[in-house]
Amino acid sequence: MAGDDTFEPESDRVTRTLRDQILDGVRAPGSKLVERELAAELGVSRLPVRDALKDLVNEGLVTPRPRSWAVVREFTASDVEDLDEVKAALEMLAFRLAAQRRTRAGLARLRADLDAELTAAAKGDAVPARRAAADFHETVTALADNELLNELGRTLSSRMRWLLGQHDDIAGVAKEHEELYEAIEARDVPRVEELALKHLATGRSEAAAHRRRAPEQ
Amino acid sequence: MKNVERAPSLVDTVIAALRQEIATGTWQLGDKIPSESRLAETLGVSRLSVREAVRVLVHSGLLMTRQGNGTFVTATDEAQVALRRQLDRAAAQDIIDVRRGLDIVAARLAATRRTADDLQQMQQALDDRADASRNADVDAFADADVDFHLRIAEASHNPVLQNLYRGMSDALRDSVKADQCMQHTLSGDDTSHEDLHRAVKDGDAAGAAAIAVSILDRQEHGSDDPAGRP
Repeated sequence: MAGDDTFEPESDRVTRTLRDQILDGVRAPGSKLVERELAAELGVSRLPVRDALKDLVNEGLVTPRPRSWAVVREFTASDVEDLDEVKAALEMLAFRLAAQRRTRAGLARLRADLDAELTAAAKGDAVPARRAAADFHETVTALADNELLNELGRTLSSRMRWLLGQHDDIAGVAKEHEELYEAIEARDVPRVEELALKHLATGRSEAAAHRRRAPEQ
Repeated sequence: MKNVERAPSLVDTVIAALRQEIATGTWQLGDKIPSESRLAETLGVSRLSVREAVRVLVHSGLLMTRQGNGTFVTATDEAQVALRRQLDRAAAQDIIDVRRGLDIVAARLAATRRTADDLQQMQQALDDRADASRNADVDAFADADVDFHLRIAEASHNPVLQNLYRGMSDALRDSVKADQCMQHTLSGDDTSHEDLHRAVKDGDAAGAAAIAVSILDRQEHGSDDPAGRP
């Protein structure tokens, strides 16, 4: 069992830090990730940085460059479309199964994600609201209790979290999550399907609007 | 019509003898077993007793009979068959649920984006699948079937989807092998995969998606579906 001590390999810590910075928008798409500079900035040697960049390339958040640097991935419109096609298929399943299979404990976790999102949205704190929004979706996948779906979710996790963060209407998205939560709680499958479909459309238009609003790189 | 040889003890003896051949490895997984008359002669019993014993072992999952081709060993341990069936049922349903989402997307996109090379690869997989069906080769059949579905995913030209399918190929293989209807499918009266290939070739996205769903419906409800409709 993991977790009997809090040791985290240095490269994991570096990966997590860089991943969060990319997902939170601290490191903008297209910005350079230079091994030497990152090592100095994070106070580590170059080796864990190199490993972290390799991991982030595998997660689809970073584009490798020759030699010792990389860039934060710039998702093209077609990249987003590819992701969205898969997201739509997996989320419809996840929401439906979550409504059928949710446990009391699972529902409490979903409620905690939702509350975190609603609180952040009410304060207008975009970064924590977006993080909680992505957590909400991951918890729904966990509630679906489908081993293969969870495995695929893990494979796509970073890219999906990125896509789920591409919205500016944090209050609107939180509101839709609240409706979805209520339908899952009520085990109302047709309602969940209807809301999930609407939520996918919202996600699509929000991501497109966010893209148009983003400063040119 | 009553038959005096239908004494359960005799059939049980034959079952035990056949099971022994499988357990000791005289007959290996995938082997074709000797003909009814050959077995009857070897064991000194009637063909009817042999037929009855084979029927029981087919039902328990150790043997599989293919009309006009003979009987084959499909598992070597009965307990293992039972356990695997139990474990697989839940997992197989999980896999079908996920495929229900992804196969539709793959089929729809493949119908609009497939290249000539994609179509050729799909045809090759279908040919291999048909060969395996003719030879009642369960493993080769599962491989070719999975290959066909991977080719459809490749033809979607969506790199995210392609990667998921490549990573899922083991799960897909399990799902095909767990198919309750495998024997039915192996008998070759199911043309759904050929239909899917045609719809993709014709650029019929809606048709391809509908056939993809019907393949999974069939896999899920296989044994409940008496008619061999595509």
